[in-house]
Amino acid sequence: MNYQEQNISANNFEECIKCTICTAYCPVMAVNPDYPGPKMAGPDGERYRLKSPDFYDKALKYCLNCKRCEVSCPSNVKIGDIIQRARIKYDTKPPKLRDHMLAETDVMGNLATAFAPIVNPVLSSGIAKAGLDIIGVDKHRTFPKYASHKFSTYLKKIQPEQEKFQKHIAYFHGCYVNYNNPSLGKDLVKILNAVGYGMLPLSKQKCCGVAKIANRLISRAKHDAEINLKSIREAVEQDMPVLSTSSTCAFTIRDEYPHLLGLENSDVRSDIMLATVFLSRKINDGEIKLVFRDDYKKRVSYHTPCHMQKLGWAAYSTGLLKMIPGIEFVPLPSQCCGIAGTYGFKKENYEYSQKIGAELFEAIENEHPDVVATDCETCKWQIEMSTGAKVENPITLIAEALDVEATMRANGLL
Amino acid sequence: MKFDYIIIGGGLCGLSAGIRLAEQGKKTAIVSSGQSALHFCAGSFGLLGKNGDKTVLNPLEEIDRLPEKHPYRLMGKDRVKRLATEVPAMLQKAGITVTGSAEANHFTLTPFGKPRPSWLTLNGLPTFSKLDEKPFEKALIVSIKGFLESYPAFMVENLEKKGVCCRVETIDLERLTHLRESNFDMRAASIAKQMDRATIEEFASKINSCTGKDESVLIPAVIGINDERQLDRMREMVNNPLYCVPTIPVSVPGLRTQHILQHYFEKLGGTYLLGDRVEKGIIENGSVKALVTTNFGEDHLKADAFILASGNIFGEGIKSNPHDFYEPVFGLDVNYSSNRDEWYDFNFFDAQPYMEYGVEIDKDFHPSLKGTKIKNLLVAGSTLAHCNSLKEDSGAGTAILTGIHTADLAMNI
Repeated sequence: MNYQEQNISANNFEECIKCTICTAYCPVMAVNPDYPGPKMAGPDGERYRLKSPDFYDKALKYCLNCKRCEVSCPSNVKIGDIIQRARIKYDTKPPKLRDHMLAETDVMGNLATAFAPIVNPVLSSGIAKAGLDIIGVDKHRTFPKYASHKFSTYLKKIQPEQEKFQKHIAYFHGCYVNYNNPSLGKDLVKILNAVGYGMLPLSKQKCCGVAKIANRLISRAKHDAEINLKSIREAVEQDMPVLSTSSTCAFTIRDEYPHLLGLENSDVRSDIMLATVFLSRKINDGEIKLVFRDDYKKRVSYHTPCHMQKLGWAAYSTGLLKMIPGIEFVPLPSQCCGIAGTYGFKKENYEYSQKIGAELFEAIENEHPDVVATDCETCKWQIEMSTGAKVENPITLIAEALDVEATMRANGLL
Repeated sequence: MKFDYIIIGGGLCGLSAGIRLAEQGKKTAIVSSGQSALHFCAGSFGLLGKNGDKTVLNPLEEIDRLPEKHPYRLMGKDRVKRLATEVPAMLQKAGITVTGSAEANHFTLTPFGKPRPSWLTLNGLPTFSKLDEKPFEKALIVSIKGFLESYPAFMVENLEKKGVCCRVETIDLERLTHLRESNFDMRAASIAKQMDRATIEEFASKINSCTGKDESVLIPAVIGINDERQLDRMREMVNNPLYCVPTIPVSVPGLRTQHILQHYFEKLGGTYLLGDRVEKGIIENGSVKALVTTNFGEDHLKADAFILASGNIFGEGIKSNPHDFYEPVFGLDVNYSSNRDEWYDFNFFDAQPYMEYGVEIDKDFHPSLKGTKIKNLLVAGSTLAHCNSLKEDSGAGTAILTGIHTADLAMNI
């Protein structure tokens, strides 16, 4: 009999050996003394909360769920999950109107894309910002521009030609590509088509749910997650991997669904991956080839989003960028940019959010790259707002640098 | 994903091996499940500080008196000597300044002010050459208001035993006011993160205003979390000689060392996979074919040779249950007593037998699995059996030297 295994809870808080290493890597603790830090909020606090829910500390709301505590933990304790589960279980205060607004990305996105020419100038106007500030969205923030046409509409339109390809992937475009930046989705279509893959839509998709989870709208998040998992299962049954271009979407579906929403996904988890992971693996296995233009020259830094660090996949994205001969690659230290999705939009977090990112912003400004590559859209907004640097998804840079004709030839398509 | 070499474990040992391989242009990856014991480093590296009850003065000469299967004995005295001589230059290239030599141990101070033998000591810590030597004539021990991790009273007691004339001053720093509102934040790493230029200037000027003539100033090691330059700048601002004394972990000099080495490894082209965990090693025909990790899943990590530098009990490189000790990745042959009563000594401060349990290797640092040698796998650092790094004060030396040694051996497989 293994006594030790039988003494460990599902969230393994007992395995914390109190080494405090996580506290040195918590980006919030370094700037906000109101936050007790991952050890206290996580495994230490859990012990008390099991005795009585009265020990729940509302300061746990300052946790931005970056999971850097988990990444640094030598004992593999799921510190971030313990904290988020405690917020879900013990914080009974209903979410504010502002929280609903930030979290309902599909509702907002559908409305905004329909009226994009009106919505964009209004959202960036002083009056709208003042109004949003009153309900708790910080006035320094600018909402990303909404596109006039949704990516999902475009994907339906090109479906007949995409179906002609022999091999297919299904794309989880997420809210950002769908409502704000359809051109990123088109960049992925360009790359996939050049190597012989067609892109098909999932039968139905909703927001991955990360914003709803962060704002404790759990039943709404679960509802969306179940729809997503159903469509993902359908795609996997047809032997299609499900690709994403957002590290947070991929992370949420793979790990937060089972850990925070209690939804079983082990049957499809390994089929959900970032597009850069898919491309790298196919290249490494010799199944596809990418050929790049000679005239493409850029100095590129890569910022590792927190959820990308947790996924452990930065080596795939940076590996692809380094394959582009015209790219001078400048590494950046892996640290949090401070935005954490809707967290940094909230008035009470704005100052901390900027303090957390300060060191990263300084590092970027010192390296003066032509463009910063990153796999997360909210990191992009934060870095663009705070440094003036241009930020793109690695897929966009690969698409820019790609010699489509030569790539098609190399893959036997011409 | 394919590399030339993969190292399991990203602490001092794994990084030493990784840097050695990357310096030779080898495509190297390090898989590190969480951060390492380097975060507990008190600021000095021991090669061999003690053998039994004896304080070692000349570590190289002492090697022949170690147990036959000790990693240093397997390397051989000449090899230990040659590699040990190369280490300061390797660290300097990465951006870490050390003082000391393997020819003779020097001494530094523990957080309680006791002398501790050391091979290499990080920039900023006090060093003195003889055990009975008085490190300073007069010492001003500076404490930071509200700091939870320095023990000036112990420091005074131990230094006074040496005949040092001691005084304690508590300094309050403006920028820490906010930090003190929390019960949890007044720790070395949190304070170190607040040390911007203005705070350093404030700290230095407050020190200058309370130091007396000929006093050496001892401050807790909370300066220079990112690089050594901050420490150098502060030293220039303080009129009297200034030294850092180690704190309770997490250690700021340890954090700095970890980050500088990791950054240097990455600059050399190495891939550092933090937060990933090797779940299984696939062995076929006496060779490691691939590693299965949590994050890479079905994309197995492949390499020509592998180095296991996964630590001991703390790093989970060696695990135990109520009956056995085992190596979790490959299930390698581990040296331990099957009689549980022999695992511990009931006197807590005596050498604990379990500390010497670890992976058994041959003279070429190859482990075995059920008696069969694994040809392309080498084992280094505290994962190895037959050394009690805590009692010998040999943890850093074993980590760095067997790390480099196995990297060289791996390149010759």
